[in-house]
Amino acid sequence: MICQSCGEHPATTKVKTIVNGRLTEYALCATCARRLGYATLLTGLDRGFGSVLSEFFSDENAEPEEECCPWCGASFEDIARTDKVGCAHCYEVFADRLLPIIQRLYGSDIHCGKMPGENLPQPQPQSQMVLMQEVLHQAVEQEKHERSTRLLQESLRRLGGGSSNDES
Amino acid sequence: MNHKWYETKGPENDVILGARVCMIRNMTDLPFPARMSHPDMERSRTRVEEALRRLSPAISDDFFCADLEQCEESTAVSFVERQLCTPDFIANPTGRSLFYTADESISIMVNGSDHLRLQLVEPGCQLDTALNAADNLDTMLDRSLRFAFHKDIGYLTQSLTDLGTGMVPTLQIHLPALQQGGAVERLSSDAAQLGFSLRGIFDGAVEPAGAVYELTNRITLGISEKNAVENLKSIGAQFAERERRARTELLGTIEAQDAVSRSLALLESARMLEFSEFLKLYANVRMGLCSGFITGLSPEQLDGLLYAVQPATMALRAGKPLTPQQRQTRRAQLVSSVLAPMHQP
Ligand SMILES: [Zn+2]
Ligand SMILES: [Zn+2]
Repeated sequence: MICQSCGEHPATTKVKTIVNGRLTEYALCATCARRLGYATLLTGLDRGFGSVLSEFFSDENAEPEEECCPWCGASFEDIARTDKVGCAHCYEVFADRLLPIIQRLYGSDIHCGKMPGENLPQPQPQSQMVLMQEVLHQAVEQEKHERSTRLLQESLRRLGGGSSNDES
Repeated sequence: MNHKWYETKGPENDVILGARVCMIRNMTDLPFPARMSHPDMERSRTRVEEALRRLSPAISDDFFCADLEQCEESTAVSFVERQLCTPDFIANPTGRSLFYTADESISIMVNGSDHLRLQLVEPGCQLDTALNAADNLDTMLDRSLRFAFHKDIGYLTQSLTDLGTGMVPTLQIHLPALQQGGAVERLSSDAAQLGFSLRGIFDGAVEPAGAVYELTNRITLGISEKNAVENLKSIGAQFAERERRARTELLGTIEAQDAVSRSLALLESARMLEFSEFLKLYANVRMGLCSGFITGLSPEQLDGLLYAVQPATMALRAGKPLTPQQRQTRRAQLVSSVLAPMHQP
């Protein structure tokens, strides 16, 4: 299936939205999903519909998985196939296999937010902020550059008497 | 008369329409929704209902509950139009319920992609207020629901992408001038690099006709709630500043002034209005109003209209299905009645 936004690349994610009072589904490629604000941590890793997590295991031995979570009955294969964890206990039952994936998604970060029943922790210096300042700085420079280019183009256009399609 | 949050004035609402904080929570002793049986779903819904009843009466009196399985399509779509839930939530109604308050500022999706997804919205840029309110509600619900949590990876969620705080803060922003200047796509890719997403709403396109966007901080692990909100505020403020500068520049041109005046005239006098056309006119008129170029109406009055004239919401208010022609006629009537008292300087 081809991406319904760019019409060029193969679609890898489906997104739902409301168009004119109706629930509508679009198939998007990873690039368009990012451009339209539908990307998640898993989007960049995806190469087709279906599971992302299974990609992490494609090179492992393909023996059928027997172990199931005693609480919800999910096998690790179920989780990998659907990208959905079965229940809260699965995180312990399959810790040896889920934690490496979590590390690949998030790096070495660990939870530093709210603990149940406690107050919200105070803000700390953190990495997203450093990255933000860099990108924002670049964006401002880029904008300055574009503004001067646009002013130049406008003055050139005035000199040339304007383009033809905005006449009448 | 019960005012909705979007009919209320908020700080910086020339650009920032609203601030929303969403918290994703699950219970320990029930499977996550994809593996829930119907009795499991019933159990989870009943527990949420009871937990809400136990909250201070000031909050819980206000909650409506909609069982999605019983809802007509237009009702369900109208929930999405009014931002009470996500499109994914209504795509599969089985076992799902939506709790929401009369002013539509608090809603709780039950048995969607997680057991609970609670969200609080405040008008304008009041992210801190929304965070505090969401934090309080979460703490109170946790007393009876005991949300699943792990000290290293935080709140446990059905998808690995929400682990950690399970908290997703969003600013609803209006960027008509940046959109006309063709700057939105680059802003969106800059934002994506930082873990934010910029998504058009009220219309799923890249360049949504109404120029209303949602700017969301997607990072949930390795960052605290307050940090995530601070970062969103700072990038939101940057976007707002650029939009204001772009508006000043744009509205200095006779072409843009002409477009604003014409848009207002059309809204005032049209006898039939398609929703997509309304959105385009809304974007111009709102920009004109906030820049003081036109007066006599408040931005929140216009935003109230934006919510009221959406297709499914109109059918819901009418209490019956409407033909496209009836919808367009009613929309035009509603718009011109709200705009009637205003006049240009
Ligand atoms: Zn594409
Ligand atoms: Zn399990």
